[in-house]
Amino acid sequence: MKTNQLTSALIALTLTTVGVGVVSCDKWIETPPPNELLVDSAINNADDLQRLLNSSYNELANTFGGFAQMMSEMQSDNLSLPNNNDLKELYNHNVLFFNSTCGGFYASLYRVIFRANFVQDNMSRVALSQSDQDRMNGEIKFIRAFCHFTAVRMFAQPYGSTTDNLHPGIAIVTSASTKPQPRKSVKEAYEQIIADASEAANLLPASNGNYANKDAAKALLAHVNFQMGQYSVAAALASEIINSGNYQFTDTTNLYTAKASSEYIFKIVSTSASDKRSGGFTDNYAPGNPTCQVDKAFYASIKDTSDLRVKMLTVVNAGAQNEFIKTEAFNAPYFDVPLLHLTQMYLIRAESLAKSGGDLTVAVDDINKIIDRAYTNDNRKLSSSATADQIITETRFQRRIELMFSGDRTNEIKRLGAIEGQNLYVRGHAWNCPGFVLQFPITEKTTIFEINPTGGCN
Amino acid sequence: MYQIIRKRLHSLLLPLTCWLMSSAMAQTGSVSGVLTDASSKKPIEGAAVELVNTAFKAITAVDGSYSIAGIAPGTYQIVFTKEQMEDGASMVTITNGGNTIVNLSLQTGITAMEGVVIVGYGRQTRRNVVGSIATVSGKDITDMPAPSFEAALQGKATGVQVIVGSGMAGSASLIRIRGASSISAAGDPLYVIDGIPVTQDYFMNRANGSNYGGGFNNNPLASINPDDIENIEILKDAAATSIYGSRGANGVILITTKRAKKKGLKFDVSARWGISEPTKKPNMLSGPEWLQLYQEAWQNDGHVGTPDLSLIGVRMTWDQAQKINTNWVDQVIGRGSKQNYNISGNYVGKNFAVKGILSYDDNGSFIIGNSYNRVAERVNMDFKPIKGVNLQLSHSLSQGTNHRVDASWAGGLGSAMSTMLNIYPLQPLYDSATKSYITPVGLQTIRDLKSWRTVEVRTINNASLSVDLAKNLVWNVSGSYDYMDYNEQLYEPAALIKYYNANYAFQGDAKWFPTWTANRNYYTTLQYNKDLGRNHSIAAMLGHEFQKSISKGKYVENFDAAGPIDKNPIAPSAFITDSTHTATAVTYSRTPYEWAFISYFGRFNYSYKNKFNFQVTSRWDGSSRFGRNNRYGFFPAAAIGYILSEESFIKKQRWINFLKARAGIGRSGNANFDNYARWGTITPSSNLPRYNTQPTLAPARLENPNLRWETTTNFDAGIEYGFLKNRISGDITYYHKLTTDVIMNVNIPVSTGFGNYYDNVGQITNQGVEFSLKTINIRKKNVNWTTNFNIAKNANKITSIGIYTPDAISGGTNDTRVVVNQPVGTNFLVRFSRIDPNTGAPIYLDLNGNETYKWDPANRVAVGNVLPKAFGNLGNVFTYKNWELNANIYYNIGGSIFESSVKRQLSMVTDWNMDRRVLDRWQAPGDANALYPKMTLSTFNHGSTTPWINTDLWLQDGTYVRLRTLSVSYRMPSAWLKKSKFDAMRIMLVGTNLLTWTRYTGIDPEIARDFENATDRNMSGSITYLTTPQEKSISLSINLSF
Repeated sequence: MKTNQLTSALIALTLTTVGVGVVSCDKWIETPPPNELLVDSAINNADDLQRLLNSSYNELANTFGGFAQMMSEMQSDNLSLPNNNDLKELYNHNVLFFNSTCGGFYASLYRVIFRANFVQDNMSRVALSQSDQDRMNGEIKFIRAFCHFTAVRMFAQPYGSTTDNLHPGIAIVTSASTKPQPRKSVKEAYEQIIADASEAANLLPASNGNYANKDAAKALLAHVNFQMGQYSVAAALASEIINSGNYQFTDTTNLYTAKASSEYIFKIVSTSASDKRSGGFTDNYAPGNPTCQVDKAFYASIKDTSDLRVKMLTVVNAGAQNEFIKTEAFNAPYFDVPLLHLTQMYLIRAESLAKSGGDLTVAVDDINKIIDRAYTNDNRKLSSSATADQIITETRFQRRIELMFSGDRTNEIKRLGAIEGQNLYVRGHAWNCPGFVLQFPITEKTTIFEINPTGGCN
Repeated sequence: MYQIIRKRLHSLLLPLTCWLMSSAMAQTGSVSGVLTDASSKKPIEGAAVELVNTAFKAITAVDGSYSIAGIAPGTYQIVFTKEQMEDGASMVTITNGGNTIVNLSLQTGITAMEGVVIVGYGRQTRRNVVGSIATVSGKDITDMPAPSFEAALQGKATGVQVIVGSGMAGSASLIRIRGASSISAAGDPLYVIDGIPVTQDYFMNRANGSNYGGGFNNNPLASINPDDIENIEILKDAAATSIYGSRGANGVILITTKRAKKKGLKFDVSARWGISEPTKKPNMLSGPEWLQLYQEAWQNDGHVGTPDLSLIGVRMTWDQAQKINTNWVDQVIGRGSKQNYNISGNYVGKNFAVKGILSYDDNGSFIIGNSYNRVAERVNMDFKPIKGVNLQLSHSLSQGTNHRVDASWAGGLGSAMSTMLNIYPLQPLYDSATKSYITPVGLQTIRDLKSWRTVEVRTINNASLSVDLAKNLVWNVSGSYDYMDYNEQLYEPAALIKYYNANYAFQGDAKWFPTWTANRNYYTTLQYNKDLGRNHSIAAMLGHEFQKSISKGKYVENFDAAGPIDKNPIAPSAFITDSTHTATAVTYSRTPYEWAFISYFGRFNYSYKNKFNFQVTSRWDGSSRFGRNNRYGFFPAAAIGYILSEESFIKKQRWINFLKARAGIGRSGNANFDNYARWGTITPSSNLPRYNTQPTLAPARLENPNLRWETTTNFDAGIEYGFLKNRISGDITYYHKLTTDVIMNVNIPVSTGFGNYYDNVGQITNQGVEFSLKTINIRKKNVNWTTNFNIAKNANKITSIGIYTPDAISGGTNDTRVVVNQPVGTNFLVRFSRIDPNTGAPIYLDLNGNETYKWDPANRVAVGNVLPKAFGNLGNVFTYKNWELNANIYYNIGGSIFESSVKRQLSMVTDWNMDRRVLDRWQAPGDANALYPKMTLSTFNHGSTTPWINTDLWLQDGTYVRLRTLSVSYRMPSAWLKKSKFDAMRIMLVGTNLLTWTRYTGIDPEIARDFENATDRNMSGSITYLTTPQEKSISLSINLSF
């Protein structure tokens, strides 16, 4: 009798224990990471979204505060052989897929895109005013277009290097996901960039503090069209900005001074020495024996005592075996970094007008404006009757000096090769040789993504 | 701690005992008999008698007799076990009011066929087991001096690869059961001690923020006392492991601790003393030799005149360097000394049995200043308050202290093999002009000044109650608590820091990395056994388990501490952060981590005529690590065993004593990976920079709702045999394992915005054959000779890695990759072709096999892999009268060894010392037979734009044969014992790793280096990077029983 009672009691106990387990087991094995915010609970209002978007800008600032510009410049004929192994591979147009500097650069471009996409994908979690929603969507698309544009210019053979532009481009990432993306053609990449930038131009407000505004999207579109050889579109877009009156041409020959300029359309913001976002320039160009030194042939080709811009270049240890040339342009302890600015628009318009049969007097005025500012004399000024070819030649010359070290030169070499049909060589390597694009990190390679050919140029 | 646990147990036990006492008796019968020794015909005293799957137990008396009463009628299996004897088993039918007599004799030694096997939530007789299970006795573990108990498993079980850790005290072994089936989830088997899957984190010192791993992974098993172990069962196939569900795929190691067996009060005492040396010393260049090579490189590179050492960062002048020749290896390597003392008491009373064990082990390695010592106690109690009720309490408490020194890449011997050039003096040279030392501080100075240890306090406790609820029905409930308090403590005084930083103005720097891990589980089972008439019997078990582990830790640094670390291991005063002590201590918290499993499982066995055995098991596991769409996994298995030797047509063959065929198929999983990979998380603003003066918030990880366990489908078929009076016995097994959804911490394309991500990709197969043979070559009265041989051959292949390429997974910096159709841990390297005899430059091969002077990683191909083709053991035991000679030879066939560090020790001259093998380098045009390329100061001259390059020139065959143990022992004769009143006494001399045969030209071919993470541990076994060699040792031990 007693045994039976005991038995029943124990069976009941067992069943209860098992039963409790079944009912509440999901809770028992729910152990979220402590000290971390879960996505589900961290995005509650417009401010949270704004902060997420700001982290995309933060990454953009870390990448384009000189680093992206140097990566481009290093492949060009503006700089000499650096004393850094990874950068040497860029200089020699033979980047191996283990190059961590290059891989890190590539990763940072897409981290910016990921963060922008993450805001886009989570926007529906929060109630937003229409204007906030438009603005954020516009910023997301601007950021995405800007980074994709940088990536396709540096990791793929240029637009125009094949007639249909179906040659391998880049991954196009338009939502936040860990799913690897296929390598799309250059054509598809430019289509996406133009679609994103155009939509951004529609959605963005005219002014938006230090963040991207409508003009920034238009200026970006001007660059894209210029790179594609769509000169009349580029000229029109540049004109819109120049004529808007929102930006004033200044008389400073160095864009990289401490503070904001009325020329800036879109810039990276540095607020103090401890919030220096211009380190990619200062750390690589400003030290006594800098990583980035000026190519001697380039220096010889632009040497002109009346040019205020060339005066910023200093010959160190002149005549000695260890002679080198450095720029003093980035000596300010910190500064805002303009990514889109008015001088670019004048340069784009001048050449585009001349290329597309536009109003040459406007083009001459544009280039003379820049010459006027740069030289202590008027020797290089164009006459009002200058031909299109004269304008083009002078604009390209001025562009190289005006935008030196801003990462423009390599893109120009590619444009001149692919669109203008010039046979350009840098260190004996043709503009379209396999090594004249950066190599993807090896982890980018999947069955749906073939990386660039190895082995460099030759 | 110990007192608290004792108190708790006390308060738990008393009421329980009273309550259980009050139950009454049902209708029962009994069994009795006498147990004798088969050869001597003498009675066996102190053997354990047990009715399987019941709580009925007894111990044989001096005259070998036993009796168990109060048994419910039915058919049972009765099992007899005694140390040093083969186990015996028989079926017994109990009738109401009757007494059944079972007399049995036991053979000396243990064969594989009989005996009781722990199978996970229960036990079965060996003959009826349908899964693949290997058993290793505790004696085998304690007889071999090893850095940690699991090392002693090497060669003892077929198909269980044990790469013994290095000669560093307390180092962890790398164990792989039937090949490698995991990539980023831990590939180690699940360790279960007395019912609880124990904490086994090899990267604890990384997880708590310490980067001071010091070239050494912590070993979560080091604090387990080998003297506690009764036996170890290794579950290998799905039939055996799927009862552990999502955690069984890499095998399960079940450890059962010793319990009281001998009637009355008995004691065992043992002591061991030993010395050790490295198996082989690193053979480095002397100072003058290194200078000669430097000069050669200098000249090869086109320089003239006196070489300038500053090119490689050495600040000495050529003249200074020529005057010094210090042998740094000798400054680090000495002679290790070991001692081990163990006392255990045993008491078996009427209703109560207790075993107490107290051990002290001090293992000083051959690395000067490095030792591991362990103080451990255990109390295991058994209560049988009334018939049908059995309460088992198990408790252990141990403290392991590892006196640490730097090794590998972090310093110590690693430095002696690399950065400590023999041109550096013992005391660093001081330059008064720059007020700094121009040569590195000496290794012994670092060792003397730096105090560094890890102290681990660990307690594992279990209470288990089994009750016979009704006829044939047993209820079991078990609760366990495994607590680990792991402290890493480091102190560097000003005297040391000033060598690096002359302006250092504080007393010293103290760091403390404590980790506390509390791991609990509980399970309950109901077991039902029923004999259905003469031919059929069934056994069924249903169970439920819950386990949770919580680990917390922090990092405390006191940057102005007087030191040294005081004796209290838990809270050295240097780290106390309250105001009365010091304001210079800072605490950094680390994220606690937590995981949990909830499980339901069942097992059903059917036996026909004790000839066919059929088993079905299944388990449902829910885990905190699985994504929201995959919270539960189901792991079924079915297996059948057919004892052919029960058939009359086999019985006619007199020479066949035992023949069993078995086959099984089932699924098991691996869930041992990142605790939080499934969660999508956001990094809060407080941890992020502001941009444009505004706060930011950033996504840290995307949710992976589909993340799940990896699944291994395992087919296993084998034959167990015993011929010629069991003088020839063993088994042969074939298995095939298909692992799908392999968990990989994939290096995903960074265009996703991430560097890596845990995902279920990939597929791996392992298939192999295991063969074991035991022969009793001589069985005479005074002379016995037994041979044990086993071999396991495994073929491992990755059959898919999804859309990814080999670089999606990298084994740390060791250049092992995942390559489809190649094994896990494939050496993926640029091929070296030859040396250009005219220039001395290395020539490589491109993908098409054409020679090229350019080193380009795009030319990497699969050139080897870390897994052996086959491995096994040959053991021989000779006994003559009371003497025993025991030799175990372990062998490893195939597998590659990649010497990751020789790219600086054999290739180009850097600020590293070089291996003497480099003397065989190219020196002048026409040197056609040189092994190594010309000396240079820059890899540009070896065709590379990056400074460190790996090629298959650094890859060698990993085959070796090793005399793992050789022992001679003597048991005191019984005549002497009677006079002395001892029950037994043994003296043994044992040597480990005394001889190694290999063509490998490096230091030691058996390599388990310090790993970076679980992936590295899976991918980079047998890759060496300044790895400390193993030890060879000689020990003398004495065992006494009274």
